[in-house]
Amino acid sequence: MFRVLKEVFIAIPKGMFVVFKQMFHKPVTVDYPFVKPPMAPRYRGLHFLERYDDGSERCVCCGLCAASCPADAIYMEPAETERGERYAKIYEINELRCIFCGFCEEACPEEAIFLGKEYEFASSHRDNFIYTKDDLLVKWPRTKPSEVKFLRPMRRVAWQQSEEGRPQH
Amino acid sequence: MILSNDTKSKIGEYAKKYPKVKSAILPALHYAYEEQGYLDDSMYEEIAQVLGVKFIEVAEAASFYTMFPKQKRGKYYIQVCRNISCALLGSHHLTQYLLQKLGTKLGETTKDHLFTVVEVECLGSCCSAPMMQVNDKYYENLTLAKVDQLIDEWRAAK
Amino acid sequence: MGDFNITVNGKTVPAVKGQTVLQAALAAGIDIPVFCWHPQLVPVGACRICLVEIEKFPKLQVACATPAADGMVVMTESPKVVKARQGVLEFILAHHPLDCPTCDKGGECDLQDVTFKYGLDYSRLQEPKHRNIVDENSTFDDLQIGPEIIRNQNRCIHCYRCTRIVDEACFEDDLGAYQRGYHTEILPPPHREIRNLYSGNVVEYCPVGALTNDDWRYKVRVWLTKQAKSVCTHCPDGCNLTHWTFHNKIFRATSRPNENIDRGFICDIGRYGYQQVASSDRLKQPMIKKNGELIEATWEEALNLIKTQVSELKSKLSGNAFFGLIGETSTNEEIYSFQRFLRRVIGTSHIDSRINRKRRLTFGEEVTSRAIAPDHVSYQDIDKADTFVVYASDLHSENPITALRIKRGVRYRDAKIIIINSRSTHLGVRTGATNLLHKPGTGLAVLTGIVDAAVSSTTFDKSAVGLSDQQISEFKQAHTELLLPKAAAMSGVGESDLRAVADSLVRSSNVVIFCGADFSRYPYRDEELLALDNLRRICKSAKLAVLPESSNSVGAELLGAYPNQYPGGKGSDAKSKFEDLWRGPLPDFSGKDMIGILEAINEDEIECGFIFNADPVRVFPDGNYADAVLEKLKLLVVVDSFMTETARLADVILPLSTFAETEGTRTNWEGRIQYTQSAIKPMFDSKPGCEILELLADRLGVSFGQGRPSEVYGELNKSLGDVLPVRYEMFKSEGAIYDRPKHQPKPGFNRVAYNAIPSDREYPNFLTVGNADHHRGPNTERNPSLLKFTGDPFVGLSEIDAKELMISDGDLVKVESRTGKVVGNARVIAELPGKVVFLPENFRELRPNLLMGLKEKFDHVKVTKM
Repeated sequence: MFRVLKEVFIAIPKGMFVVFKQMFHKPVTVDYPFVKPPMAPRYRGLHFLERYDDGSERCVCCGLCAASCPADAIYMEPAETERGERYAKIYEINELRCIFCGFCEEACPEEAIFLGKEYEFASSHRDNFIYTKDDLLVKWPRTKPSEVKFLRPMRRVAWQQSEEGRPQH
Repeated sequence: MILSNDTKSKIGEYAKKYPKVKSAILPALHYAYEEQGYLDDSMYEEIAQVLGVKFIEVAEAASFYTMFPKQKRGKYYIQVCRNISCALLGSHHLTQYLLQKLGTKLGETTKDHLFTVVEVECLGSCCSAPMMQVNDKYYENLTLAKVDQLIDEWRAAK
Repeated sequence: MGDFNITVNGKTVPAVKGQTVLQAALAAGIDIPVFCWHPQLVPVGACRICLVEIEKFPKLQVACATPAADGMVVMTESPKVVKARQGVLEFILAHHPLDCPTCDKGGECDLQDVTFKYGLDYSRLQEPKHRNIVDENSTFDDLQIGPEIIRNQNRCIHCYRCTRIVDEACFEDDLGAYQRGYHTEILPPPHREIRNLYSGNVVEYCPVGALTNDDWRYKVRVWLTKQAKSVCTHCPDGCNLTHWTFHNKIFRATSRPNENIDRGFICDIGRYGYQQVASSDRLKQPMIKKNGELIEATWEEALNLIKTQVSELKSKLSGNAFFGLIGETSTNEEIYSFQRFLRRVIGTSHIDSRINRKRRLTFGEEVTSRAIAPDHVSYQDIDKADTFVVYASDLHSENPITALRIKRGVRYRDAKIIIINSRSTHLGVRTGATNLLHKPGTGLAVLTGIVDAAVSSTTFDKSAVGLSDQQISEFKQAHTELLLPKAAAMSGVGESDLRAVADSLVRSSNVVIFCGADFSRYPYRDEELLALDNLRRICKSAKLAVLPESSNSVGAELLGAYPNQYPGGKGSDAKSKFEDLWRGPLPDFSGKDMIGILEAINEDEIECGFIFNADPVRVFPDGNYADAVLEKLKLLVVVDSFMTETARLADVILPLSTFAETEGTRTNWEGRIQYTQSAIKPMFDSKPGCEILELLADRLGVSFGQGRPSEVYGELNKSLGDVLPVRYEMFKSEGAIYDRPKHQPKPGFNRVAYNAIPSDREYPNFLTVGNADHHRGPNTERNPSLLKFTGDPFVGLSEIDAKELMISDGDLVKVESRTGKVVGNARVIAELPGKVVFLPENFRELRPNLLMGLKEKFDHVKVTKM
């Protein structure tokens, strides 16, 4: 009897107090499809392939991302341009296999691959999760400024020419 | 046939001094250079034939040294040492000064076919740096004034 | 054990006199980094990375060039050494670009590995890196210096391995180091490319990515690949290869150094020869001929067709109406299964593998030739010899690695080479070889002339070689027509030359005589063999090596691919033994050889045939005849990897896997049996040979239950008397040598019969067949990389003939003989003697066998300008 009374007169107002208190707080959840939650600065989402400031691809298809990938999610085939540059003819990431560890980003010597903030890439087909180079490369010309701060923003001109130039005679 | 028979026979004679003909490549290059004033691929080929060595052995040896230029050079072949002792005492400035004064570029000959300026490796006269070799003669302890004087002399002598 | 001991890192290591510290340490499993050192080259000490600390030496020493001495105390990883190596690396990296991500060497680069182990992760040098500019407008400094080789001079660390390999090991002259210091450039001579037969080695042994391969360029990263141990199938040298595969595709082949055979160098034919595996010419599916057209079918259809047709024919005719031909590039297992299939299942002994010989083969011929040549010559004998006789062989293109061993003897032991041939060959170039260039078909005269010169010499010591006066006089009486003045006149070789060669042979203490593929084609093969045997008698110690034509010719001989031999070279007395082994009756021992088979088909005695991995229409020395005869067959089953000329005539084609898709063993010219792994799974719908033969046998009612090579190998080994390793895994790098019985040579000289070749007025030129540069045999034209070296098919003409006929390079010429004609572009070859026309056997468009007549001993041809 006493327990029932205690529940009615103490527990209910106590509970209602919490409810009324929260009514005046800012909500924790967001109205998701219409409002996007803020992401952590180092959030690792969908990959993208960066470009140089002149629009050329950074990726040289060295294979280090694939080598470092613990999930074996990256497949690539290199090829040669007419000028003799190495580039990725095929570059595919299987986003279903990917565990978003970010090792590819760490391994990349050319600052080409990054894990972005994008997380909305659901699909009803498994095949759609194999992202090809077309999907991964950032659009050119850029629609928005790059969010990456590059260590080497300029395209590498292989080496400075040595001052003497070619040997004489 | 660019080399004269005389030079060829001299080379042939010289080669007999060595147990291996390969050793005679450098003297042979010297002879050919004395005669022609420059050396090119066809001459390498002829030397290789005379000595019975491979073309590439002659070409490698000739390109290693700076004293066998591939084009005809000017009357005064100025070789400025660029190695450490001379470099520390300003051989680079000396070269730049020479080039500016003669109005030419490194390795190229002036229009009057008088001068060719090149930088070479150590000529073994570090105690008197900076120095240069002009044709077969050493000019040591150089200063800009000294260079001026020399060039005026050569220009006058033609 | 060694001559004395040295101490390396506190460990006692045995060393041999003359060994360097590095060699002693490496032999004991102590690793010292190297860039410029290569086991087959003289050390130069150019890179300084192998610095080690040796007690009592005031400074660090280079391990590669310091001879080991008794009691030396060496430290390879002391703090002083590590610091010195750091310094060396800092200087090497001062001008080395950091373009590992785009460099093909990345992942297998010596510099990468050593930097990872010793290098600093920063550089104290601020100076700009030197750049060797190839094109002013480009930032890419790659330069194509050969058909297959790309140079990036910036990456070069000036170890000079490449130039030393080309010069020292290969005796070639198409790569050199120009300029000096960091201006040094690795370049071929002006207006030339690096295109020698061994050029691929410079890429393989470049410690950095300065020299890279067009073939492997930007294809796949090395760490993704799998490696398969393989053995080259292009010539009987038996070089060991590694095939690098990724996703069931071969990307390159490199050498797998084997001290007994190749010592780490392979030729370009082996290196790029893997490309034919993915050739567009490959047969992808079984095919059946319907209304004169080959139509793709399934395995089931093809096998059923063979079953019904063969059963029908077999019920009407005996087993003697069947025949089988097998190519000598098949594995031992395939050869064994094939002859077993024919003998046991079909019941015929018409089996042969020698499909490119003109001569009628006498029974027991190969056995006789062994009786004359009982020597088991091996590569080790080449290392001991001081004189080499190369008879009738273009050793450089037929057995490139054997030629390389000989060259090594010339380089380091001042060995002499004597070449006896009717055309000039590349081996003689720059090795200081004595070249006896004789008129075509007069090799016998040269050989007998040399023997005569030796025994007639006043200084000849008969007792040293065990000859009596009587034997010598008998020899002179028997060969009155071939003695010296006449021999010289007949062959066109100077008498003094013959005397000089005889003199040097008599004086040499160790001679190895090679005779090669040209020789097998010669009509006087038997007589020549006898004459070579005579030549051997005048030498103090001489060995005779008969070099076979294809990669597994020796295996074919050993495993009963001949009509008169069971596996193991056993004769008819072994019949009951094999009936027991194969659990069934075997046919009589009366099979026909290749020529006999074709004759029998022509006379309608044989009506059905199986041709396995062979192309008789292409290589039989009368192409038109072979073509016409095989057309007459009621049923022709061709098992092959490619759409060959013979396959076009087939009623049923079964696609065969190539060497890269089949495991098995092969026998090289020494008789060394080596195991080769399959690099990839069978491509398309092809099947490995053993499986196909098992399927056929199963359909025809006799199942052996041995569809896998390893199973066949077990029985093969049993048939040879269990002398080989029991399982494939037990094969070591030295392989296994099957000892054939040795025969005792009879004393005295052999008698040689010789008839001069009549000259032909209508067809004045002699046809010689050989290999074009970078080709060997009929299959190499399926490799695009090799085609880059040779270009188009050609008709080789001597300068004299070209002048006479007013023909210059590139002109269209017609070559005619009594049996056929071919048309091709002329190429004037300076080394060719007059009246000789050279045709490469490597091109389908220009098949020399169309010009050959079976009845004619020598092929006379006529050349006309079109």
